Amino acid sequence: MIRFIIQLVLVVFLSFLAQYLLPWWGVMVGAALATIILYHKGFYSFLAGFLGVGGLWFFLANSLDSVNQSLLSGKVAALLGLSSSMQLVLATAFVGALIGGFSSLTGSLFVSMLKKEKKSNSPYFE
Amino acid sequence: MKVFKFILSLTITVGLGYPLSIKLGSAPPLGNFLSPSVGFWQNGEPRETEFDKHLDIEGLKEQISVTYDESMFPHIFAKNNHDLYFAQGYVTAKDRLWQMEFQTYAAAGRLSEILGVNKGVQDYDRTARRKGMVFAAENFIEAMQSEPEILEVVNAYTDGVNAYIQSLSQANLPFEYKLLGYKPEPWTNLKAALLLKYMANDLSFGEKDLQNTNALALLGRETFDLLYPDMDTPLDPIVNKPGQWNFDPVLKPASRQGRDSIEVQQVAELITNELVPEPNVFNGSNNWAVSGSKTKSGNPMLSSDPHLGLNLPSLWYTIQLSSPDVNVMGASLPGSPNVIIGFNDSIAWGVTNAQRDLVDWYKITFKDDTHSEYKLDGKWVETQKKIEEIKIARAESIYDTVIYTHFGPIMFDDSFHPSSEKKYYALRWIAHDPSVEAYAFYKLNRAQNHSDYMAALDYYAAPAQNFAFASAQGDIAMRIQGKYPIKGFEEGKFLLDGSTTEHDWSFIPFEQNIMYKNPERGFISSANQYPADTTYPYYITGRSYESYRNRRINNRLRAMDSIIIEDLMGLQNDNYNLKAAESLPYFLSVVDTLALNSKEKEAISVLKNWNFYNNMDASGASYYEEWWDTLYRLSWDELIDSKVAMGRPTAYNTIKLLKDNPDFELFDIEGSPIKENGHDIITKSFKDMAVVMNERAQDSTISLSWQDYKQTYIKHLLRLKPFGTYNIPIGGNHNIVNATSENHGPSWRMVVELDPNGVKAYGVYPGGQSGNPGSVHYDDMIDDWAAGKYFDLYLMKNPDSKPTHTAAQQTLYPKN
Repeated sequence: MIRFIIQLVLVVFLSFLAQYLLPWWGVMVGAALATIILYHKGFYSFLAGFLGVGGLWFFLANSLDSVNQSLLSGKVAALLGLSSSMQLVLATAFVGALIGGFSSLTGSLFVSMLKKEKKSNSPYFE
Repeated sequence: MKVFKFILSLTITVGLGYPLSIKLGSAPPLGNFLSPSVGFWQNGEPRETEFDKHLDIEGLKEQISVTYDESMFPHIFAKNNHDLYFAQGYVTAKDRLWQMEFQTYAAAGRLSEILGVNKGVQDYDRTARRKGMVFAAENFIEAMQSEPEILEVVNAYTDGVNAYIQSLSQANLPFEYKLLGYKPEPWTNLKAALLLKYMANDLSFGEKDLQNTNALALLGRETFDLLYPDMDTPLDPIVNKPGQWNFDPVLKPASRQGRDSIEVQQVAELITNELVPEPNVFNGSNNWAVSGSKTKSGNPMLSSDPHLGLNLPSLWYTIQLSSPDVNVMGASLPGSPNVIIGFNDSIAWGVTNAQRDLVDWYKITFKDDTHSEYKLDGKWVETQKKIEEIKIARAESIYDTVIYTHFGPIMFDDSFHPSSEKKYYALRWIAHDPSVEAYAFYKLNRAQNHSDYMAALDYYAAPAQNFAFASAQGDIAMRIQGKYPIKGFEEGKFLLDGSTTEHDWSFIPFEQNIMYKNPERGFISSANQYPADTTYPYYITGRSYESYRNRRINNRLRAMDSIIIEDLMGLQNDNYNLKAAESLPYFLSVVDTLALNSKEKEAISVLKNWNFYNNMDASGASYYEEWWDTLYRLSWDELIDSKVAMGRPTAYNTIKLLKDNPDFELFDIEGSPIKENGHDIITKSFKDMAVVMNERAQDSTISLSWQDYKQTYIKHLLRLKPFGTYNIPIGGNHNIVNATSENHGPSWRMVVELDPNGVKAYGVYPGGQSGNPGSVHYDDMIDDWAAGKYFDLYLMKNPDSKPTHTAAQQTLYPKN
């Protein structure tokens, strides 16, 4: 559990950093990097990426939206066929979550591929 | 197995990431678009716009002060002209980059490059190319090379726009770029020229040469003259000075008449009625100036309100420009330097469209189907072929060959609208001629008196405009300026013979253009009406001339005395429907009131109680408009439904014919068993109207008020519904001084009092200073515009004489 939480924090931290250094897909690199640095099983890694990037995008989109008092998001939501600004914030978060989740999973599977057939990589966590 | 899992997961990840990075169909690249760090979320501005107090910009020579007042109008103070126009480019781009670039793409026929495969867009692009829009802009650039003073201004403006473009990152790219998934390209002088040609297209491309040719052939001379007289309006011209045109006109031989030039051949060739988009017939404007003798303060005053299609971001951008040799404020065109309609502390000026015929079509005799040679004055002359590459986003380019003749381009041929009646005819258009209008505005911005204004206008060629003028010295003036071809009687009103240079254009000398100064009546005005009294020695024709706004304005100005500035604001917002006042009583007198059902009685009662004002709550205006539209269609059903394109008679002429000539044969409704006259169709259209209005009355979602009937709206340039404003509470209509119709109207309203102790000016436009739909300043002036309110156009004397309320103060520093 602790490993998961640390991984989650790392996902948020690295993807937050990467998206300012790289184009928009920087979050994907950040999320993958986090699970490469700190390996965890596939399912947990996916969850960390999903919640990490999803949460990050939710928080960022929502705070930008509240500063703007939903002026722009209301129009964009209508353009995309959504009924409210909050739906657009959630849609943004979901897209972030999905790419974050798969990026982290890929990172984790990459590490596990390199590890051959060792049973467990650390005696301290799990 | 693990390798497989990894590859599968990687594939899914990339499979998610890639489509989010590219544009699929009309949807934006979603990853880029939704990402909070670089996507559209970044375009949502705080309610209070945040400004950097200091900016370092490469390319500036000295420090610049920019004050934003509470309306977000920037007041730029520079220490030299280079920096001033550099800053104008920079500051304008900051608010309007996407719009100004998009309009240059539209002007140059490059929209497919942004919007991708779309038949309508491709047609639009090809039309622009074939009209010679880029050709025209290139001629402007070439002419500009010989005027170093304006060249420096345009160069500096371009550098300023580019300095802003270079400062952009993905995160602060304007919203529409993110939505459409592209990026701004470097700005060029050609783009500034294209914007001026974009306006020229809107204002000077209106014509009906072929429609006239068809109508003359089909209807015969007598009917033609009744339907389309050159002057079908009660004479209340812009300049009225009978017998005082003291110059020797350069006239063409009387033999050179347009009517017989090519008429006979044309009859056999009448093809189909294909409509190619033309400038809106209601593109027009009002302006006037009153001398001190008519004002309470004794100071001259000036008003100007150009009527154009209403869009967001707005066409205009309010700005003050100040350097040691200029201090001017007013409406600028984003993408082009200088102020276009404005004032300084000594003079004010405003423009309306001159409406004259500045387009001609010539029938070309080609040697063979290769179209590489054509007959001119008895010899075979080679055509030039220009290959246009039309790039298309996410698809292969298409190539279009445009044939150029001595007269101009062949717009329609076998590859483009082959059923057009203008097929293989050559286009002659004033906008193709080299001229440097930017220099005229540059000089007008600096003008101190009437002679400076006259000298500035000598650089102005097209699109022809009525320039109203007033000065703090007490002068008022009007000059109808542009390059006008000298025409023989009806020459250029019909298709011309292009096998000879006999109908080539030569121009009226500028000093013989229609103009006057300080007329006795104490005011000057223009509203797109017929320009001069009948003693002006040159032949005048145009697509159509206004008959109502001009008379209403002149009637009011004649009656007004001790004018204060609010009176002029009131007149700009005047909703009096002179057309209705002149026609409705007659229409009502024709309807037999003894045989009416209840719906019809209701309609009569509403109309009889109406005061002829198209105020937004007036239901009488709605009934009248419905009746008028129905009646107009019934009157000219033969012309409207014809397989061959023919012009539509003006409202004024229609009403005149209905009154004076009710038995006119065209009033008969086509296909009906009986023969109707004018009275019959007035009655029939009344009954039809009563049915329609009764149906509308049953609909509880919408009232019969004029506002709800008219439904004025302002749309985003991309026609994205959520980014426009709909059902705006405003009265008026076309042919009314407040010319706000459905999607067209006063795009800028300005009134100026030239007080020698400090000019006072007020302005408003239907939009906002910011082009960003994520800013409160995107559309924050619309409500005030609709309500007839104005904002202070405060002309700062120096960087420290700030208006009472300012939003921000910025200093731009040269970056080394």
